[in-house]
Amino acid sequence: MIKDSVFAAIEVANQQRAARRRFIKLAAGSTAVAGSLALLSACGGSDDPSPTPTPTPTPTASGTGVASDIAILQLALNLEYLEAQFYSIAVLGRALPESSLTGSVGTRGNVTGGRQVNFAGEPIIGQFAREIANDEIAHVNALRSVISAADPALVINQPAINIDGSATGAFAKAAQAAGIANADGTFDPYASVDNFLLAAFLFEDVGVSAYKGASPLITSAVYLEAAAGILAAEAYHAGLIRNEIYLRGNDARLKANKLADARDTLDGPGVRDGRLATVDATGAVTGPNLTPADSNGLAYSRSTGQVHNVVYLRTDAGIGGGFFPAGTNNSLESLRTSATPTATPSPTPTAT
Amino acid sequence: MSDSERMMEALDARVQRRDSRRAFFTQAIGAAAGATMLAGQAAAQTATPTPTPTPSSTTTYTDIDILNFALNLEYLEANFYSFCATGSALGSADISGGVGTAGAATGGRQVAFGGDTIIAQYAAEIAADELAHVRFLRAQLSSSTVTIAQPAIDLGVSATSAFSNAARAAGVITGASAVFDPYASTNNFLLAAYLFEDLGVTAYKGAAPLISNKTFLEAAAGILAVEAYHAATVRSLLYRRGLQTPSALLVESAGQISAARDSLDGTPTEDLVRGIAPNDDPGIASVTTADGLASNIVPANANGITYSRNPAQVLSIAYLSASAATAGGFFPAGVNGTFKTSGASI
Repeated sequence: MIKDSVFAAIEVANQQRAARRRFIKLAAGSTAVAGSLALLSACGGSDDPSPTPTPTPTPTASGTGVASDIAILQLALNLEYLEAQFYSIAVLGRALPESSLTGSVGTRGNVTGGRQVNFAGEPIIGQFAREIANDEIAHVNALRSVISAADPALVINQPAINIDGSATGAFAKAAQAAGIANADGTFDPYASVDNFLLAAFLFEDVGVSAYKGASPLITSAVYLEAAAGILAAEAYHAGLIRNEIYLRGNDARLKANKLADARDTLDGPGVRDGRLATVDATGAVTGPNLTPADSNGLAYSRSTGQVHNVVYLRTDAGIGGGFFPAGTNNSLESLRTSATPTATPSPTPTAT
Repeated sequence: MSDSERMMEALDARVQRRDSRRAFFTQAIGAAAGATMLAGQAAAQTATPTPTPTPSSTTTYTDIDILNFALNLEYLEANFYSFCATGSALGSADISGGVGTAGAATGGRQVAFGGDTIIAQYAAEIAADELAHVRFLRAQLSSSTVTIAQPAIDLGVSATSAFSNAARAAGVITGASAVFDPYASTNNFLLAAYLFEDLGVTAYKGAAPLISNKTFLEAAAGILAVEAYHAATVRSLLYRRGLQTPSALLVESAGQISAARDSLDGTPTEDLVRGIAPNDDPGIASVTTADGLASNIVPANANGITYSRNPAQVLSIAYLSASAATAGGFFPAGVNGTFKTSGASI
């Protein structure tokens, strides 16, 4: 999800799909980062969403545009820190090493909560979980390397992360908001395989929507291709998790539906999420909805702000909350900030 | 040379690989860098910078070219799943176009899912998604003067059909008279779906940097994601069913199909950031890590980045031809549009 949020953040900057986009090419270098988001949002001009493909050649990876791209990669790295720590602790029983967590941008925070899940009774899910954990750890290290290659001073610190399942932890807050825990109840992702899968479900689709939302904001063709590869990996994870939950039966399916609804509520009006199962008027499950997609068969986008609404578990604009108690870290302040409820771009492009 | 012979030749040219994706990357990256990338070493390793190579594109393509290329693939997938779920091909309103030679999608039928109700439902959902992709791309192209017609598509089950040739070349079936019938069982359906879904992911990923219009780019990212959701569903189902019924050889067959795709698509130079590799198609066999067995649902490199294929590589797989060809395999008369030739750029 983290990846997704980076992309989504970009979209927030645009505010509307309609405003899409000519990218302002910012000069490379850290000094150019400040304030560039405003420029991004201001560059709306030719936003014709309808089919007027322009025959311009592929962008090159060098030269302009790097600074804003790095801010997007930073946003993605925040999300990857969250996912990687969650999976590493829950699955492998250890946090990431310090060398994978320190940087130069933002405040270095610690992880609150988390412990190893017992997969002994479900070894196949244990295998799935180990694969995902290793992928997410790889994403952290890959993003750190790519950012560092551009400018070592732009690698962000891991921000404070809350993956606690107690009544005041972020997972419990999310579960309370979704109605799968009581108002002051707990939701412990580490207590059972069922809960672990639901917690993974909570993250993965968000990552997909974040990377997708950010995709048009990336100017470097190389970064874009890399980001598309992380987006795809997140979608594979999400598809895997959704399938596994669906196979577990109606109780798990309906809980996943509630979590999807909660995500969709947090990020403001408009549909940006898909339930796991279709239901009839009585609320009974009628079939699967394995792939969260719109009527065009496209996965959803979230802006960077909307991604932060979900991971901060807040519906208003601000910095910090939920899984990132002190906010995410970024060279661009605007890419740490959740969206206001009124900032609601229409969720999907139309086919006309 | 027949499709089957071409594919067999390609396969023979390489060592059959069952290595895990990560062990396999170890070789590809080189011992020094690779040693840090083993999956079991969960953390601090630097993730192979290989920074920013310049994308090579000496030829300029329009977004219309790319959307039409994608539309060929969606015609293929949508017709396959439509047959599987409903017994019918796409309707005439969804396949007409003013560019290229129109053809029929032939040879498919409804899958006998037996008691696998959930998988039948999944097939229906995927069919709906793929049809939506066809309609979306056609709507984006908007004018019949630029929209390709559906080309001829072979979804048949004869001994010389594309499915049978692909399965024979992969080693899933043996003998010139053997048939691979994707519609005969749930397991065969999943293997055929496996053949297509990962291909779609790599195709959209490889095309993404070629797209100029940002609206199209974001839409393509949305289709890419959906194909990856589908692919994960298919891969994880094959893996689960393979472990539950080892005699069905599902994990082995998926690995053989991956190896065949990997042979057909050439050996581009490794790029760990962009996700390009000479060996870019791991199967679904589990890998041993320091923390225990890990599955292989996500076909990704040591950075956790999935792979790209360029259009020529994609066509090599669709045509079942490692070398340059303009038709074959699932597209017996070739695809329509600007990108027509397989293998040429490898």
